Amino acid sequence: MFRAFADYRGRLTPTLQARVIADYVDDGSSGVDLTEAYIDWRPIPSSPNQHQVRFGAFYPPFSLENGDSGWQSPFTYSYSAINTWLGEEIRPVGAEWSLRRRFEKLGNAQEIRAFAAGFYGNDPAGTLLFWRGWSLHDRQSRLHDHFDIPDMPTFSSGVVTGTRPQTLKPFVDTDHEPGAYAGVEWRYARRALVQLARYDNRADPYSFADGQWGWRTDFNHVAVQVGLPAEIGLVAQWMRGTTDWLSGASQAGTLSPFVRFVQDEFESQFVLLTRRLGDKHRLALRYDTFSINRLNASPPVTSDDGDAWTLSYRLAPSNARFSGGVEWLRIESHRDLWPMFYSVPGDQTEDQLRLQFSFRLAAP
Amino acid sequence: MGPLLTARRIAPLSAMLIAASALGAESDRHDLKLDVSAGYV
Repeated sequence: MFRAFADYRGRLTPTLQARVIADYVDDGSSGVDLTEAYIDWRPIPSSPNQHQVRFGAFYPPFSLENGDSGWQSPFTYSYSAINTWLGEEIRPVGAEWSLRRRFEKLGNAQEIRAFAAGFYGNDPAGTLLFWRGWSLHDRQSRLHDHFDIPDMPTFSSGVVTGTRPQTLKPFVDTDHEPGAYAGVEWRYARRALVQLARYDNRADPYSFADGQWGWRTDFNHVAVQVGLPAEIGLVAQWMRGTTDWLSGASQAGTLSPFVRFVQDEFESQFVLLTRRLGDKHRLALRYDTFSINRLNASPPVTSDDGDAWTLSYRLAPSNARFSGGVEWLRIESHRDLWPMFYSVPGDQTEDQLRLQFSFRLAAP
Repeated sequence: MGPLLTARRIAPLSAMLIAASALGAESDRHDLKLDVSAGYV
């Protein structure tokens, strides 16, 4: 896979800053597109409170993995299941307010941040999670991407008689109703960080626009980052949520006589350990678990249930333009839908060995 | 995996390089990072 991205930050005025990330991936998608584009307004603080308002299309600040330029991870090449999904289907277009405050009486070591956002779009979020299941990779969806997802089965008398293709546009608005997310974060110097957050796209599952149905998706999220002894870094995230959708909805916007309201619960968590070895090397080991379960169906459907190991080594000399590394990834998963819809085995094991080389213009 | 450099890849890369040159990779007011990576699975 070949990817090129340009991550631009520009100061428009002393209090306004713009950021645009343009992205190209050679996977058959159409040319260059944007993954994020926003403006930050950060007024000059007159108290220990630092406010910021962000306008545009942006990632929620949930990931503790993807802190590098272009929303990449400095630890592994493939993101965790949680952050892979955030990169695929979660991209609000709206406004985010945040407040950061340091506690001077505690030596400025402790800091809290609160954030809240309202947004439009992002109504189909959850579609890919159900039809494809959890995944681990680094392909981020761009704002105008539309891509094929596993075919929708067609039924006759309860028996699968065929399939028809489906296309996903993950960031469109289907119901003109705003979604929201909010969270709080506590940081102790560079040693510890804890974040609690909640996201709800508030989509109407009966809404349809631009070839897409709304999927009402909400989740709770906890993220932790801790500096351990022996210079080992720990990152952990947990997510649990539900997605409500209409089984039997067609791509033409019509409902079959067998349409019914379905609720699926999804959950994932990971723990990542990482350590720098000198100035040039970094090792990372991550373990993910993930699941999707039907809450109100008979018989119950396990849409996804699995785990993954990732071991990554990266050679990244500080201030060097070239970096490279190797990563091994194993995913074991079970999906009831594979034999039920597509007549393929429900248990799958995937092994991936990946070599990666990167060149960066401008200082890393 | 096809050839690393093809016309489809060179065109967007060139556009990004021109933008980088026009802005200056890094200055007081602008900061542009261009990252090109290839992964082999």
